[in-house]
Amino acid sequence: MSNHTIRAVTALAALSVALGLGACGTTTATNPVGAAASTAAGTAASTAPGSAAKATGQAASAQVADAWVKAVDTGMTGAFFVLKNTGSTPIHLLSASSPISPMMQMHETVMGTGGAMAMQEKPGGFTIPAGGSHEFKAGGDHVMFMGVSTAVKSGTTVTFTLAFEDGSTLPVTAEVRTFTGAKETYVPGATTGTNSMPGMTPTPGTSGTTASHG
Amino acid sequence: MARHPAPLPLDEQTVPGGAAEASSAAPSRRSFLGVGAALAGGAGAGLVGYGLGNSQTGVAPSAVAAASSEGAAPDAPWAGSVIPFIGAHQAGISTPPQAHATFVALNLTPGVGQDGLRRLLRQWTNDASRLQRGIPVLGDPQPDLASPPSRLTITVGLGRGALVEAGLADRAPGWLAPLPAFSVDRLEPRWADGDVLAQVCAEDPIILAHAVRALLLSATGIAAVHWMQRGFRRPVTSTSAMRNLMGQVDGTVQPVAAELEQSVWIGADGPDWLRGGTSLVLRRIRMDLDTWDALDPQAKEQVIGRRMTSGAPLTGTKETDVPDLAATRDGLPVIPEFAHIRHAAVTTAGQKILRRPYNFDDTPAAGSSAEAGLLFAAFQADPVRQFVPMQQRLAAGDLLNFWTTPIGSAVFAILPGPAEGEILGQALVG
Ligand code: HEM
Ligand SMILES: [Cu+2]
Repeated sequence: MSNHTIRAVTALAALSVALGLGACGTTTATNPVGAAASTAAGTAASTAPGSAAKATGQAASAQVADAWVKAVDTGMTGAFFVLKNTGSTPIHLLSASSPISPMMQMHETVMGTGGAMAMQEKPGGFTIPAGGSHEFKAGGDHVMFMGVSTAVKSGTTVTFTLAFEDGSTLPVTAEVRTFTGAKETYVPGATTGTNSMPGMTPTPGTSGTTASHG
Repeated sequence: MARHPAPLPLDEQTVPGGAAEASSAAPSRRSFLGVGAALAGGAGAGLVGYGLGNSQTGVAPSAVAAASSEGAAPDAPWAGSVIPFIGAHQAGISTPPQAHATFVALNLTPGVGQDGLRRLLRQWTNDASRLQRGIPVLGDPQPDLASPPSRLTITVGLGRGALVEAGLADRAPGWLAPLPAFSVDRLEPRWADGDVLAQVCAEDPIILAHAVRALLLSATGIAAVHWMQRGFRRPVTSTSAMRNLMGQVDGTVQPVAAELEQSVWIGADGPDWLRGGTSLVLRRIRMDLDTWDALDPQAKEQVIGRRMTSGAPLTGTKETDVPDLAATRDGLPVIPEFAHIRHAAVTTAGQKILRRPYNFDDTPAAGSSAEAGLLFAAFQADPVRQFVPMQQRLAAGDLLNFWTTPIGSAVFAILPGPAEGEILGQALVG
């Protein structure tokens, strides 16, 4: 899969994404509330029960909290969560897979030319240092589901599996939520990018497709 | 003794340890502190009764520190106070009332069915469990508005329409229906019924507004707002009595803690999915303040059967004195035949209701000085057994009807509290 770029085409959309980001492309987990939530018990736990015991390698030190996926009818959507490395060596998230999507990618959101926010694949994935934690959030880094063909409804759950550099994997259960923030309007073909993202179908008769990937 | 104001169970989190601890608090860890004096407006005792001593020193300081950007100490004693969400009963019922409340009723979008109801309850469970700890909801567009928790409670109920839409009408108790018509009613459809209810209460109106909006965002595509009613009362820290806008001390006589099993919580004789739950009757009652104020103070006291300033019964000297309905002076009852408390009074625990009223104050109509009244929220195990006969007696003989008019009415089945890992309504749709 070649690098692709999807660009916000209206000033309003760009503005809303920029606001969602806070600072262009900065993804440091500076939100203390997010950090607090990642340690909270109960419904906030996202790593499937029992999986921690079975996980090996890097996955054994990976802890996911507050995982959620944006509700979508079909097409693409994103997963957001806090990934914590409880181990003493770095862990490296490479890829993800899910029964609901034929292809998943690691995405980052960057400031494109002209100041519009754009998301693009981050082929190398994400490294989380020992004891560190990384926030995958709307308007920032996220894990992308492409080609979703069955409606992903709010109030249900989606499962996906995170795969690390050493081949170890971690199953995650995410809550599906309606999310209206950090929208982008896309016009496939209007940018220099390849825009070949599967599952991204422009709505006929409109100037662009609204696809909130976060 | 039966009607003497006395302690209610207190849901407040009284153990230190912050957000994570609060979420795992088992019902057994709930403290049962005396709050009767505070509910009754007893001076001084309020602070002790509501456990604010604990809040100030111990309740969830780490949650607050983590959640506030500066790590600064909360500005009010209740700010960091977390009311546990997990437990046998939902919070916001026997919880000492917060200063602000929003009651919001939604109607399910036709066709969403049982799946839609389950999806809504799953999201609201997740939302409430986080918000009550001062933690933003998943995908929160306004995460900075989620803390400090400020004694937030989210209490969820279902109207008959929810069970009908879910194809579960056969599991609805008989009382889950509009109340019978009362002669005093002037009900307006815009305040009537509703499929799903959230009662959201907090000491801080900003925290409250954010929580309500979070719940409505979660309902997107599943249910839409039917009505929203906002109310207020004195903050929990106040050592002054709760007063309604007629000026009366309100909320004195309540079931005692030991009576709640019989008066409020639904037991083995109720539907299985409601055990540990209760019912809410919400009546929106207008007050005609302009004509009320034309009465002289003594007449006002006769109408209720209690003193305006102290709230004491006409047969006593303190608010907490038990009214003597049999007392006479010069052959006439001291508490008049037409007095509100005479007709409202009941004796057995099974007849008592838990009143958790809030004042409302909206835009007055032209020529009026107020569009005010009471969001009369009453919790009881069975409205037909408890609320209806009481309201019928009041409709027939209570002089207060002259200045008060019920304009809204709704009945909801309040779900039991969820256990850890369960959703609200688990036994119905889970
Ligand atoms: C705007 C309407 C109302 C106002 C202003 C009002 C006001 C009051 C006041 C001032 C008291 C005395 C203090 C206290 O115990 O709280 C009282 C008592 C009470 N009220 Fe109301 N009330 C209203 C409506 C109702 C309704 C609709 C019901 C039930 C159907 C009700 C049931 C009771 C009960 C059970 C008591 C305690 C009686 C006793 O045992 O002494 N009230 N109310
Ligand atoms: Cu993306």
